[in-house]
Parts: sequence; C-alpha cells; structure tokens
Amino acid sequence: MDNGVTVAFGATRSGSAGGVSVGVAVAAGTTNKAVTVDNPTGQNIAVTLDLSQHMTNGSVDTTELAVSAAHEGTHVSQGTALIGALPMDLTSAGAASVLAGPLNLTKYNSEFQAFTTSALVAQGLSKASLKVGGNYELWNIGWNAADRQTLRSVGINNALANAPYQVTPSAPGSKLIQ
Amino acid sequence: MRILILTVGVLTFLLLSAELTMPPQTSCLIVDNQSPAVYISFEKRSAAKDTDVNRQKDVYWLRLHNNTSHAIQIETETLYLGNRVLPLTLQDGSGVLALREGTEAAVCYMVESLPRLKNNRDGTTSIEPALYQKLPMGILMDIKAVAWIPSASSIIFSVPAPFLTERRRIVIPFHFEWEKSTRNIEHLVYFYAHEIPSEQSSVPVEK
Repeated sequence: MDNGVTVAFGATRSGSAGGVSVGVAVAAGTTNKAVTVDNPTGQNIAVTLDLSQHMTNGSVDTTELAVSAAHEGTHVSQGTALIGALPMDLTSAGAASVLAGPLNLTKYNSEFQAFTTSALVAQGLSKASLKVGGNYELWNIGWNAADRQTLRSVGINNALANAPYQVTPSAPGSKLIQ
Repeated sequence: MRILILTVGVLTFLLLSAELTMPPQTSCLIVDNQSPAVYISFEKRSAAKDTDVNRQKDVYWLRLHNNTSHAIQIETETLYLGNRVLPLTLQDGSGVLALREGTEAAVCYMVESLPRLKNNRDGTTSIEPALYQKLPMGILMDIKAVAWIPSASSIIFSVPAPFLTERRRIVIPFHFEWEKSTRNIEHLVYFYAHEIPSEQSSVPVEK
C-alpha cells in the first residue's frame, strides 16, 4: 500500500541520525494534489533513519532507535496534517489561507514538538538520560517530576538555539511550506 | 549457402524491427555549450532580507544553474508552493511543482574547508590531510523538502559571507530527473570562495 510515506535506512546527508523530507504529490501538468484511496492527503514524505548511529556494542540500540523514530515520526505527522489540510488546488486562496495558519509550523515549533516527543519516549522507556547536540539534556531519570517539563524545555531551547538549528521563539525560522 | 543468406536476412529483419519498435530515447543535452551542465555563479553581496538568527546580515547571493535539457532535483529547507512554482511534467509523465526562473530559495548546502597549511621543520609547508573537510555549518536540517529546477533555468540562494572565507567551498547535492531512486547515486556541484570577485570581499555591504 502506498500511503505517501516512504521509510528508508541509510546515511543522511546532514549527518544526523534521521531526517524527513516533506513533499506533495502533484497531478501531471497541474497545480493540483494527486490523491488516491491509500493516500488521501496527497502527501509525499520520505523518512531516513541511519542505523549506524543507533549502535551500541555492535547491535542496534532499540531505545535510541525508538527515540529517533518518534522524533522523525512527529515531523511526518506535522507534514501529514499540513498537506492534508491543503485544498486540491495548491495555488488557490484556500491553500494560501492554510499556509498562513497554525498548521504551517515554523522551524522552531516543528523541532520543539519533535524533541518533546523524543524526550517523552526516552522517559517512557526509562532511559537514564537523553542528550542532543552534545550537551543539551532533554531527559534525565533523576529529575524530579515537578521539574521535568521546565528542564526539558530549557534543554530543547538550548539545543535549538545552537547549530545546526539556530532558532529561538523570537527568531523561529522558516515555515514548513513557503 | 541458401540457409546462411536466409539466416542473415531474418536477423537483419529482426534487428530493424526492434529498432523501429523501440520507444524514442530522450538524451540529456547541454543547453549552452559554453557552460557546465550544472553550476553555481556569483550574483552579488548584500544584506539578507529576513531577521532569522541563522541568516547572517552579510550574505553572498549565488545562482544555481541547470544548463541541461532535463529537470534536476535539489533539497531545500522548506517546501515551496504558490507563485514561486509552476507545474512541470517529467519525462516519465509524472507531475511536480518546479521553482520558477530566478526564484529565491533556501537551498540545502554543506560547507567544506581545506585544512590550514602546516609549517614543517624543514621550512616547507604542507596540507595535512589534503582533502576538503566538512564543517558544522550550512543548511543541514533534519526536516527539509525536495525542489525541482526546470531545464535551462536557475534559482538564487544566499550563503552567509563568513561561511565562504579563504580555502572553503560550498557543496550542493543534486539528482537528474531520470534517477528515480536517489539512494545510491548523487551528483555534487561546488562553488569555491576563490570564485567570488576579489572586489566583493572588501566592498561595504549593500543594505
């Protein structure tokens, strides 16, 4: 079944553990979405996961892989929601209205959501700690329950403010679709 | 002898028939023979338009040219719709939305650098290693989009000026439209810092 989402394993160009490419299937010669029974949104989304970056002692660390899959899966859901909301004619006023709306997330919002999912999966799988970008901790099993949301948000914001993201709430970066 | 003539005749007939019934092949051609198939040229140095923290004020504007008779595919930071795109039918009959001529796009690129010269004890200098190394800069996001550049068309993009200092280059991966599976093949187009006109590195930044 072709639902418009393809998952592949291999190295990502950015060198990250995973990546998502968001696109729309288009009917030839038109600016209309190409939809099918199996792919009613017209999405054309590709996910890549680099297993070599999820290895521990020579085998795949399934907890790490789950964290990455959850992160990239969040991006897939963001793309699905946005593309699904677009009308058939991608150049119509209706499309412009959707693109100006809340589903068209900025880079900051998109990544904040995805890293929140990563942290919650790490927590759910009782992972001792989750760090991104080297030193930015998004989850630690020793955190008090009352502090978790605050510390998670601090960790995500610090990670996003630095390379390669370099986005903040006041400078949130480009939107998913422009 | 008669059998030999008959055999040659049948083979000739079969070969001619096969040639006549083969679907027409479309070759990829260079549009402007004076230029490479895909290349990047310098446009200008100026201030960036937006205020994102990842957009440096001082940027080089570069132009990515598709000088072939077919579309090429690149990765961009965001998906483009609306008046920046136009419908394009690829040679396999499938439809895509391609960037219009001269569109400004956030092209995904990498930055690479040659290591500094090493001073040897004997007074000579050498580069170790002599290969370009990938730097942790460029547009390298984990969420991105695919964009198409039609035949004989070009788009513009910006690179922060501090990224393109001496001994550096930017790299843009691309695919030709007939490469349906992009997993095991990749083409790269480079733009080197030394291709920037020398007078542009010292002029005041145009606001």
